[in-house]
Amino acid sequence: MSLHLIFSATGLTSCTRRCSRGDKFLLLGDGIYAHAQALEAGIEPVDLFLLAPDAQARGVGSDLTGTLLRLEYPDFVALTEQCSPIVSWKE
Amino acid sequence: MKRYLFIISRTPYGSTHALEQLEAAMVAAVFDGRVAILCRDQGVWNLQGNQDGAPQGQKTVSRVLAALPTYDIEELYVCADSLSSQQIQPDASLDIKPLTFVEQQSLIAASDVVITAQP
Repeated sequence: MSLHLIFSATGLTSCTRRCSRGDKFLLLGDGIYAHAQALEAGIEPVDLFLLAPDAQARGVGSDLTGTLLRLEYPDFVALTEQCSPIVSWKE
Repeated sequence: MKRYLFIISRTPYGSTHALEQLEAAMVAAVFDGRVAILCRDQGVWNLQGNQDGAPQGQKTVSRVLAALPTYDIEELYVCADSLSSQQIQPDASLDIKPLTFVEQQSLIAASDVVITAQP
């Protein structure tokens, strides 16, 4: 199971073309803004995460409580331990 | 043997991304990794023929790509969709295998390590 780190909306598009079923997706940096697009692209809410500090900084995601899980850095680390390979997408 | 996949997603010469990815790939191969390279999106321009890095004071990226088999890197892939959406005339000396999105999914899932050098 791959973990996809998504840093932008463009990166999300590149990723969704090449990811597999059951993969995990973490939105971070400006990738946070692409959360609606990620759900529209068919990513299961249970597989989609926001990095909490980045979401908080951008004022995004508080309305998504109960839909998407927001991860603190220790959760992020735990996720990287569970998944392989880990792939970053920015462009 | 670990399977490495290096993904090149930027143009040559505009940044050092492509050359740095290729140098890292060659190092991985020297240390007995099984290495594959995938060019996608703007990264397909690295495959263009008639490149000359000399005016930029840089290595010619297409020549570095052509030398990959010397390092036992035999898997040079390109995103078929990205290839067809750009007006590219690939360097004839390169043995390039176009992959569909589904084939790229399998390639990524089958790799132990995927290096994108992003962001």
